[in-house]
Amino acid sequence: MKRIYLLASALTLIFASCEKSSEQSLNETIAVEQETLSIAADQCGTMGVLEEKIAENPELAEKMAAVERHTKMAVERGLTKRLAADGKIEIPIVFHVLYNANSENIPLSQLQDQVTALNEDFSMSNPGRNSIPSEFVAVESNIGIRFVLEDVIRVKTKKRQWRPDDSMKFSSSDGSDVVNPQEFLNIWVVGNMPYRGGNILGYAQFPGGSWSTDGVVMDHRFTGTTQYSTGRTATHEVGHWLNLRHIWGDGGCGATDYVADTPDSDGPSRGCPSYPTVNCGTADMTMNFMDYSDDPCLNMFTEGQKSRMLSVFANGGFRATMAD
Amino acid sequence: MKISFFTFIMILFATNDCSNQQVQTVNSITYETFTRGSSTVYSISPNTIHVKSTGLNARENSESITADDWKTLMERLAQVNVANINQLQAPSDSRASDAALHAILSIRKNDTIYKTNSFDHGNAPDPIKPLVEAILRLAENVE
Repeated sequence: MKRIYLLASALTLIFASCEKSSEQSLNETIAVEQETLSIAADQCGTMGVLEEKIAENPELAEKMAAVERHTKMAVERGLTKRLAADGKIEIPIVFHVLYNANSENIPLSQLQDQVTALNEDFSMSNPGRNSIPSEFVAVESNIGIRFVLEDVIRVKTKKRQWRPDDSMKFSSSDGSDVVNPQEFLNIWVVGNMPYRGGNILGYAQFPGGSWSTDGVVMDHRFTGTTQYSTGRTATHEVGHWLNLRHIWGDGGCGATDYVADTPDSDGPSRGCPSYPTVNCGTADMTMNFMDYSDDPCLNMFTEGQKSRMLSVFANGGFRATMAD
Repeated sequence: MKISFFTFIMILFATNDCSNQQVQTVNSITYETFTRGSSTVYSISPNTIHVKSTGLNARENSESITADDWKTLMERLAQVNVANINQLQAPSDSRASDAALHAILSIRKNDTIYKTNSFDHGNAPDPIKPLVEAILRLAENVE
């Protein structure tokens, strides 16, 4: 009897020592089950991201929050509708062509091609728009922005490649200084931007940042019409410059792009996806300019994106001076 | 008799619980970067690192890794609360306007894949930073 008791206590001891690990694995299982839920909960609150930014750079975060508040107000009060009714907003573009090799000093015709592509995309005349599925045609939008070529600044630079760190925007770092950012869209065209094993085709700055770096940067091979490009990289970047986010909200299902009429998705598209490509329970709008599909397969903005963009030009908006 | 039955139950429990510890082995680690027009996937299993890039500089290569390499990764991984990596916050958002590559880390333990939300490549959340650095250091040998 005593022996059995001893055996039992010994086993209890073993049981107890293993118990901790069993609890752990149970917790992990529960965590996995809750994963989907926590992703949704976590990412709906982009305020969380904003809080991070505030900690990192209080001033920028406050400015961007102010842009968001203004966007909400402008949409609610119909300011964007009035702006749209006024007719087209005209945006002059200043190109800064920074070249090392002569091939990077791209011709005026290539820049004009780029302006043409932007004008197509912001006036609902994208050449591929007849392929937009009917479910999305209903929200396809004519943004009503016209771009004109204002000036081309050409700078021979010692830099063979650039990092996406705004150095091209200052003559002090062998780049070219911004010109009248309150009136002009500045586009820097550079040789290339290899970045930690990848290659950046173009990048933008959201409204609310410093005027000295305001604008868009482009790899010259993806500017205008080239063997790689029909000019849609610039459309995507100008979308960011006008406060649009990536259509998948830069996160999993539930992450928001602050636009109601774009379907939820959990990541970017690549190449030329076939329709329907279903994620998060709905067909992805893979042909939206704010997705990552290839140039020929990017064909539309939505009405919701239009309101967001026009808010930037409304009274009190970050780019109001461009519309007056 | 009652007691020996109790003992039997105890033994059952004990063996079950201890075998659960074995279940938590890591099969592979994947680090993925992407931006418009290109992507790179670094997949690491106990013996191999596989790197596949798409886009202008498309390439695909594998290299074997040593037991020590894997052990280093596991040591760095041991500092990470794997079950909660989906809750890590990205410390910066340059990828939102394309000024950085998007990056996602995932850990495969048997049939479960634990995945982070996306963060800026080059600025991982602190808890996984040493692990990501170790992965990229291993990848430097793949050519």
